[in-house]
Amino acid sequence: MLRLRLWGTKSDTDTIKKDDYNYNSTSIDMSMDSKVILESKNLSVRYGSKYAIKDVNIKIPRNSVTAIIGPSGCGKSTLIRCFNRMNDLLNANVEGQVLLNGVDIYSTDNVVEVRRLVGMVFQKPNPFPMSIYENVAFGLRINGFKGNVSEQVEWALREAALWEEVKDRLRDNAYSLSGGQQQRLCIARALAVKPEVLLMDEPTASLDPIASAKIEQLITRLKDKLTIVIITHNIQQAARISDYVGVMMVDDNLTGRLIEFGPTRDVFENPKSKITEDYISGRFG
Amino acid sequence: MLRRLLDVGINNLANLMHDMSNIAQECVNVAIDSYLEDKDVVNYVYSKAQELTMLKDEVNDLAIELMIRYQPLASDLRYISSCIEIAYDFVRFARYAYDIAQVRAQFGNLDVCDKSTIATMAKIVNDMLANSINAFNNKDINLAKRLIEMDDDVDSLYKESLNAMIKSSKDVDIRCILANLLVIRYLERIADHAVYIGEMVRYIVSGERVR
Repeated sequence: MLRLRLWGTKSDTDTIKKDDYNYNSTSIDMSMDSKVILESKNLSVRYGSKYAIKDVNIKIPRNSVTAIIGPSGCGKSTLIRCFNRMNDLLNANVEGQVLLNGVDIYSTDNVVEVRRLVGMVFQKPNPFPMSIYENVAFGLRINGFKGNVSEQVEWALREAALWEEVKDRLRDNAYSLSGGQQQRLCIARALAVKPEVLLMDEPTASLDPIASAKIEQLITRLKDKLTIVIITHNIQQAARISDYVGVMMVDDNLTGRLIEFGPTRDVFENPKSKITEDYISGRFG
Repeated sequence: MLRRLLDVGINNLANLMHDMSNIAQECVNVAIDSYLEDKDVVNYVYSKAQELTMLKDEVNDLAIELMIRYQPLASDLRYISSCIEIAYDFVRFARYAYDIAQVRAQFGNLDVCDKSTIATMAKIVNDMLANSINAFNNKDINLAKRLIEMDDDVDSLYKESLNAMIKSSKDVDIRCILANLLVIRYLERIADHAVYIGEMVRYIVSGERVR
């Protein structure tokens, strides 16, 4: 019997029959090759001898919102950090491939370019200790932007639905903004350098419902122009805003696995995996 | 493991559906018996049909409340949304039962009529009704699939009866022909709704939409 352990819990009710819980990738619909922008092949991440995630094969469709859900500690953040090589900064050993537009991002030394193309927004808003204007301009200057910086800053702030609220105080310190505004500033900062993919690690977890709703509306609007991968603990949020859902879960060895992936409607109406069914129904997790 | 709040609601919903299924089954049985045995049960069936309509509204209210409060997903969502549709099917059973009871009331004494075909068809339809309810209560997908075969038998009987009535129309009391025609039509519709319940059972269990 596979004993499914949840992070921080251990009980007899967590014991699952092996044939009920299938960790093979049969629950994953990957029939969309031509629309794929980001792909992982046999992706595994090891910290020392311990695997955080193993054999993750995922294809992220272009111009869509893909939500990654799962209980705490299942490797969601580890997975998306692979997509822009943030794990390089954490002494992690990455095995397998991550392909952006068919090119393995681990085959290049130009990590800065990777992180320009694959931007990231974190759970806690983290504006730089600078003015609102400089926060957005910083990335442009670092990447050698040759055009009109002010125009690009305005464009990015408009894209992040923040311009009207800050246009008269661009020189104010970013910390003077509310939490929701700071998060949209971080999104504008990422957008300014024209990424192709935006990774968002629980972007609304620290925000109030109104600020969260604004971020969700923004995400839905942005997918016309780029691809978004979002981690969320809020299953209803995933149901509201995502086009595709990936479900991750830890196995008996506390290693994160991708157990199901597919269109949001299919995963939430008729999940193929019993693990997914139980997780999204609140029977555990 | 702590019981989910949603489970309390689903349990209440299941109890309502159980009550509805009992009343619907009783309505159809009483109406068919009244036609075969020449009894007047119109008022009784009407009151039961009204009861079912009120229960349907309760089912709808509870289902929507569960969706608002708990945003159910997967099998819970399929079950709750199916209950809304199946509650309507139960109401239709009662409506057709009332229509059958009305035939006896409108046409008066029909002792002289040959009701053997009605009796045969009614037996199958009663079995279908019982099977559809059992399939729903036990989430029995095989029983749900059997309903389609049984419905084919009902449809065959329906066509045979129509043809027989047309051929014998000169020799038989026109009241008998019209009354039997109406009743077999209502029985055929009850059978159709039993099949619809079977389709919802398949959706609940497998997520497969058959319609």
